[in-house]
Amino acid sequence: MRHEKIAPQLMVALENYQEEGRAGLIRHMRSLGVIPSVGSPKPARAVVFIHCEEQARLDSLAQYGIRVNQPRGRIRTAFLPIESIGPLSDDPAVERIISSHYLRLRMDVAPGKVHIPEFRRNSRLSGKGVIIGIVDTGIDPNHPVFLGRILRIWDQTLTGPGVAEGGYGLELIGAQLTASRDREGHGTHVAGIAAGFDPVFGGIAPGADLVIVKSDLQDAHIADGIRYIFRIAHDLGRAAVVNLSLGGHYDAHDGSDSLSQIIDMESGEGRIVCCAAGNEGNDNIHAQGIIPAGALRTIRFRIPTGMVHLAALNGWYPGVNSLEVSIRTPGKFVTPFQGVISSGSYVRTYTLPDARIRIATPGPDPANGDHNFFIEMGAPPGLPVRGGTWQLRVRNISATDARLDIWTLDDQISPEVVFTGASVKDSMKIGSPGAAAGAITVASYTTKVQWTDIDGHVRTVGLVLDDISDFSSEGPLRNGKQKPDVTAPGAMIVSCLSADSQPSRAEMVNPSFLAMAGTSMATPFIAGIVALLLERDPKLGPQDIKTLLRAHSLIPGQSAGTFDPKWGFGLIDALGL
Amino acid sequence: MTDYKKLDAALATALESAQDSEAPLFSVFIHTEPTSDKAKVAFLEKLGVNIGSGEQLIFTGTLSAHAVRELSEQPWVRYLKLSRKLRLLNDPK
Repeated sequence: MRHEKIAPQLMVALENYQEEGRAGLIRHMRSLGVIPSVGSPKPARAVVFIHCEEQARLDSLAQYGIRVNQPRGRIRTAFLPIESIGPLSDDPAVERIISSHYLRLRMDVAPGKVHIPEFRRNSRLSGKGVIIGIVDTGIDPNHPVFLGRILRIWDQTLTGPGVAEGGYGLELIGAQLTASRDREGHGTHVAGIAAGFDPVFGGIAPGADLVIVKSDLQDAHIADGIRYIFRIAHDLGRAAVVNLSLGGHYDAHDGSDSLSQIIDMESGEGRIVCCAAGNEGNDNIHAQGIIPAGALRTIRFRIPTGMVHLAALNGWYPGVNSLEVSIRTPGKFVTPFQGVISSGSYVRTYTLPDARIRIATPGPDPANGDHNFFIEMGAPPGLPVRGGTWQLRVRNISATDARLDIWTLDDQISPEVVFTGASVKDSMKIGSPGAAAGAITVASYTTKVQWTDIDGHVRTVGLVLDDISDFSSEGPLRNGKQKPDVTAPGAMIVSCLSADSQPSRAEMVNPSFLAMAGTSMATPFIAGIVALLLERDPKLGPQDIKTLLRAHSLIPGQSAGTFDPKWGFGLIDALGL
Repeated sequence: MTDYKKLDAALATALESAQDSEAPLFSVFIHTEPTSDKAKVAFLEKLGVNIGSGEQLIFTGTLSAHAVRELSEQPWVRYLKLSRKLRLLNDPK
């Protein structure tokens, strides 16, 4: 028996069978495709996936009672007696044997809920000839769902001479691809949704090729990655769609930031960028206030104790207004009010007994003409920022009322510094790059709330089934422009697990796939659809794609074409695309 | 003389805390005027900025505080913005 070819979960079941007989398989009935046949003269059987050579002839395995369901293909399914797993693994054409899972078909609901299978069947589209570019945490180059379809990886985190778009990192092709690993697992999961090839957990465009940029997530390097993918696609004469399942709130929330500008410049015919709307639907990261002329207003925000080492506020208001800002710490100490500083350095540092505050108040921003301020709250090196309730005090010294929008920023994986009180505003939470005018910005819809993990435990998440995901960030943009564009399934989505990542076992459904949620997952769903559309017409541009998506999206209970800041133009329905 | 009008608030704030003015600590976007001035490309190359075809208007590079200040003085530089690390958008609360 070639143990290395057999998936761990199946191996465990096999050992239980060898030690305890059929009774040892009962515990695997719910998690594996195992039929113990206790009390029956029939042998215990299992349903498995076989990864093998494309043209491998497996007919001879019939002598062991193994019924292979497909005559050809790299991944096939089979029904076999448990005892025959050994002979199956001995066949030189067989590369891997993976257990089937009873609940898989019930979990794999997202594509069906928006009619992807029907669309692909009717159109015969698979994304073939199109490049899907993923700028993310990398990819598991050995995952069988991507076999032979990763054209290149630009690993920005490896030491090397770089590429034309950036003199850093290492470009990998062919056998070199395995030098790049995805230790976070996010990029592999995203790539699987867009383009994975798997009979159960396959992605939307399983015929598309992939160009991967493993990024350090700096937005300047993400911009370099977008340019790299489009250059490769151009050199190969292919259309391309780039997936960006990431975002931030350092920008003006109007698409005028550098990354959004580059997306707008680089997009065009056969060059599409899809961006996540964001996951801050439940996070009070945005505050808004109308500050009357001559008035003082206070906006409260809370910093958790002991965990945040950098907290900041990013505020924006019209260039015609002039505001002065001051910070009050939890110890009730205050900085002076600081207004717009038009000459020399506009940054001032204030050392208070319980914090060090830096306030930057430049003149109008050259990109959009608006005023902004940036306030950084720090502590002595190595210590966290003081926890508690802080206050931003704002004084309007201009002759007209001013609308102020502010976003909190911190150094945590998800937002921890949040506004409290009446200034909290559940809108305008789509930042860069989702704010880019040319990008297709994607909100998340919940198609699954329960799954069975690798240990057989039923896991349930607190989301409303068949509704917009509450975590999905709301638009519109600060300048009133409509975002997001469209909604797609984003929770809970089962896709590829990177072998180099260490997810929670509660997320894993088997050794090769796991369930995740977020607009990160909704975005590659749309990127995959865009790849299908580009296969049909490689000349489609961002506006063409948006028009098509809008025409085939709907908010439940609303008339077609209705925009909502949470849904965009609604949930995609691929049936008539 | 640093032209602070060309620096965004985050970059100006970060410059304030730079201990070593020659260390390449700042990943930035460099927004430039549309000019065919060869001095622009030469200047950017000297700083180690990726110029690509040289025809684009927005460049990226990792620069020292000194280089950022020097760039801000160039007439063909419109403004400079600090690159920021973005978040992955999975695992929502």
